[in-house]
Amino acid sequence: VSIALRPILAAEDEETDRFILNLAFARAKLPHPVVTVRSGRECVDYLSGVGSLVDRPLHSLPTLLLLDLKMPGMHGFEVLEWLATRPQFKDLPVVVLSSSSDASDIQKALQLGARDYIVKPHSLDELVKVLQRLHERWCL
Amino acid sequence: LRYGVAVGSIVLGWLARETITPTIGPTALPFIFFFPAVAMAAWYGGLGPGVLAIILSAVAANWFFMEPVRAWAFRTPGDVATISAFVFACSFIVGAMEAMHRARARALADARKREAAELETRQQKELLTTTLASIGDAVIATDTDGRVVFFNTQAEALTGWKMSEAANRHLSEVFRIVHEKTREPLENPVERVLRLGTVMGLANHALLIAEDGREIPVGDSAAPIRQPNGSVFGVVLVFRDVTLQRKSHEVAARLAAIVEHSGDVMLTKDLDGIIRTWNASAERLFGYRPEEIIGKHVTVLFPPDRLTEEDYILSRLREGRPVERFETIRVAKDGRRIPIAVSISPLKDADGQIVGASKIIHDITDLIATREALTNEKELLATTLASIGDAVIVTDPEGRITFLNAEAERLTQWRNSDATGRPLPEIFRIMNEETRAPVENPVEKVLRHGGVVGLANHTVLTAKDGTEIPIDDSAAPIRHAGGPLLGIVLVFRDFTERKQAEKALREAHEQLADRAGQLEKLVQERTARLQDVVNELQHVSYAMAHDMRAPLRAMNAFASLLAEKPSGDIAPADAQEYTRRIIVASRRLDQLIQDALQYTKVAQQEIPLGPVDLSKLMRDLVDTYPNLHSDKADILIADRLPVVVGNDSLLTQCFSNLLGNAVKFVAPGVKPKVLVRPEVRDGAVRIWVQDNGIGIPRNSQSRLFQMFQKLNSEYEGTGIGLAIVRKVVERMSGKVGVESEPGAGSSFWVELPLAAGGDEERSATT
Repeated sequence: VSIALRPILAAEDEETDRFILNLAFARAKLPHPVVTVRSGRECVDYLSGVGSLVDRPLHSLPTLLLLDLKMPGMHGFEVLEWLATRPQFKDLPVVVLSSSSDASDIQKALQLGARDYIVKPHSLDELVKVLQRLHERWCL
Repeated sequence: LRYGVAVGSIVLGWLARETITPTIGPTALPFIFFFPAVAMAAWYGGLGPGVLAIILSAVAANWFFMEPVRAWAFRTPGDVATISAFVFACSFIVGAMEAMHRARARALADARKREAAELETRQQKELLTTTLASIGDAVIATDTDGRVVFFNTQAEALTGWKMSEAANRHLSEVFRIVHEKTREPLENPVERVLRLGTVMGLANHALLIAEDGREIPVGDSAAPIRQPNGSVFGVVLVFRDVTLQRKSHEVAARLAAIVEHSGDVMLTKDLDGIIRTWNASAERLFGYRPEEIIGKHVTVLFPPDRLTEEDYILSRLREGRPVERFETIRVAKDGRRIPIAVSISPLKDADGQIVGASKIIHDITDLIATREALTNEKELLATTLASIGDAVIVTDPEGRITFLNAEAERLTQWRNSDATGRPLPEIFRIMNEETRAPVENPVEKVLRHGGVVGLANHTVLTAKDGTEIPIDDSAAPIRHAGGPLLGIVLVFRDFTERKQAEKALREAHEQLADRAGQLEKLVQERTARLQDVVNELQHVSYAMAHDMRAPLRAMNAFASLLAEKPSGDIAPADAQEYTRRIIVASRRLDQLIQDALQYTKVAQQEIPLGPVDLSKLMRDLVDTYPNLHSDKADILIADRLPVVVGNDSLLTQCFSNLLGNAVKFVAPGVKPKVLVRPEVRDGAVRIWVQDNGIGIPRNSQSRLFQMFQKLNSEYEGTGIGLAIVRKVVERMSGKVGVESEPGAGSSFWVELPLAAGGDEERSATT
């Protein structure tokens, strides 16, 4: 049914956080499929269609990117910088979902082109609500 | 005369024969009166006149009284015989007379010789007796039995015996000697001499006990008296009262001790300048020991530029004049130049002949310093007075001016040289500004009050040219502490001139501003330092907030999953999984807190530094941590690691983190291989920890040592380990770094200062 909908891409390195994120997506019952990648590098690879992810129909360009900041290898900021240099992604909304509530992190993320910055909520219910709100705002 | 007597007696003989011619005829008995005449001539005149008388008699008898008378011709041979007989007989007479003369002359000569010899003997004896009697020493002579045969006056005086009493007594009776200390009787010297047959001195410390009980210390000698054939026929004992000698010895010894231990440097030299005595103070001052310096020329103490002083000193000494307190420089053994004052007096022998000099030397280093200080102080005071901004006038106690400084000269318009000696009121003319009445002479005021006095307000000084200057002043007596008044000092200033005050104020302002600037700078520095600390704290708290919330979120999420349904409705496998995740998250949170605490501890605690033997530290580490054991990892440690300056427990922490990382970050299934090796770089050493791990991407290496930096989420860890390593090494003034390629392993290094003498310690421990 929803095969035509482009996926929501989530980049999250922490296995536990990915688990919780997937759980929250499941609870949020969003129509869009969700693709999770485990690092900044994987995220960039997915977007540029390298490696195992070249099969674009299956892994079509996302409608929203949920980006963690602190990731080993390629940091979230580096992903934002990379995106900024690629005109084809200028309409891709990127929302940072990070543990950091530091003002300088927020400011820098917004400067680098993030549409929104959300501090990871403490409870699962909150996260579900956040995902639903983001979906309403960016995916409809 | 002798020949005249001969001729005269012959003439007398002829005249006597002529007188009897009328009686007996002209030719009878021609020679009768010539016999006594010849005898007379020979007796009186000796051989020559005798022979002359014989010849004259024969001639006269032949001419006057033999036939033919008044002619030389012999009438008969009998006449010749007669004359020959006469000559012969007369020759006997003359010979006998001559023999008599000679015998008499010989006897006379003998008598004279004997007389002279006797005189000589007598004189000698006299001389010896007088000598012995009047000699300063006491003399006793004894025979071989020890009986007294001679006793001189000194012996009488010392023993208390009269010669007449002592004669024939045994020596031991009149010459009793005991040992000064033990009072044991000493052996009779006469017996000893007789026994040994040689000259001998008495034992020291002999004490003679006189007849009246007086005890006299004596020094003596005894000698045998020998006859010309060598046999001993007596003993002579010579002794003297040594009380004075003993005393003078004591005095001399005391004087020597005084000189030796005197605090003053004393030395003596002879007229050639050779040092003869040298006391302990001299040794202390100059550093030469007596045996080093005695016999050397005194100029060894002279600096080369002052050698001529010795000529001057010697020339004065030869004239017998002392050199009193001569200040100069001398050189000690170690080359130190010492300012000294030396007094030199000539040394005279018993005859008053100058034989050398004694020197008393004072080290005047302190004096010179004091003098200099005094001069400086004087100079300083004079300069201060002269250049002081206030006017200063100094007077003697009578109020006559002795000094005006520059400002006083300016205000009064008197020159110091002109004003000196004049009474104060003449130069320092002051009056009340309003009443214009003269103000009392401050000198008189001071004399009356005896202390510091201030002038009345509104005082005006009238300068030489009549200018009036309002002044402000005070006067004070000058006196030594409690001493008499030396003078009065008057200090005043031009009251109209406030420039100085303003200047002072300006300077104070500037100083204040300067000080404020310094303070500001200090505050900035301190703030910067505080800011550093705050930044560090912010960094930590940020990282904590970020990383610690993740496990909390997980715990919250899984706990709420467990809580939202009755436990029966959750699949047991899910429940187990959620619980496991909660436990993992809580463990992780705990680890984070512990590591964060560890980091702050490392960053803040006091760390005592000392030598640390890295070889031992590494061995202990490998032994302690199971994951470093050889069954899990191959760890090769170079066998000569140096001793470094550091803190044992912090270095343990540092290398356990590095070794732990080295064995942790390997590809799955690969056995970790770690090599630890030193690289010495001047004064420091780099310890490399080289592994065969997965390596680190170049762009991540820069933030590798920051807090909570995890480069790979597939490996467990909090991301604090390397931050701790960096902090630890920084705290020990070291450096840390890494060289790595992904897939090619990593080489972490820690650079630490080497311990001084580390080589010895290292070899001692290996």
